[in-house]
Amino acid sequence: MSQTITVQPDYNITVSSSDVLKDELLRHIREGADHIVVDFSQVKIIDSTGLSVLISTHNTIKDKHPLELVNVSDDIKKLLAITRLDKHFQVN
Amino acid sequence: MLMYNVNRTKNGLQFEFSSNYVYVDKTVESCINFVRERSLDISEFDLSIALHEVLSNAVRHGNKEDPTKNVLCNLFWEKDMLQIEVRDEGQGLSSGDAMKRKSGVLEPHGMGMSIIEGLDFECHYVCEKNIVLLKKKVKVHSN
Repeated sequence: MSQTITVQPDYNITVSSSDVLKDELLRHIREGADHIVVDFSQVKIIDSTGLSVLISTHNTIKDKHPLELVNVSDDIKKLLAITRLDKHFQVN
Repeated sequence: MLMYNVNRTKNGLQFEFSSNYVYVDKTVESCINFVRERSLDISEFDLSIALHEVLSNAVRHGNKEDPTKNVLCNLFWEKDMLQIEVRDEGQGLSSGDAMKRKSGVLEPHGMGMSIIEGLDFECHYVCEKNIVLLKKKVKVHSN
């Protein structure tokens, strides 16, 4: 049975903060989550280190369900398009 | 001992700081405040991301996160051109393409320089390639 979890970071996901998100996502995966939704409503900026955390998470769970991102700003959608990650993640 | 210095120049800001990611955030914030003060017509998101990428690369890949090594950043705006020069104390890249991501492969590394170019910054490696120069044509906001 699929276990869905939603994570809502309330900080910008950059090199100085991405470990916080990484630890939270890893904890949910260890606890059995296989459908992870990241709510970006409070995230204004994500850099390549933050994107790397999302890629690692996606690679771990993608056989069950691609990583899902919701409430993504137009700026961050642009970044996902530049990196072509919008072809891999489910972006809403 | 960690250090962080910032000086205002005629057309910009100069930073020198120990290799610590907290100082990357602090420098990005100061640069954003500078372009706001000058009413420069540039996306704050694009500038923030480009600065985060180039400064984080200097700390991580250039100085290998060694806090005894410093990063120097010079941001200035002159003749409608915003320029950002970042220098670290590393050995430089063996190839200008070394940091680029292999196209079509989903890897959690090597995206930084592709992002900078994707945001339409001119990107040059100078000297022994431990200097990166970013340029973008930017005018004063018309409002």
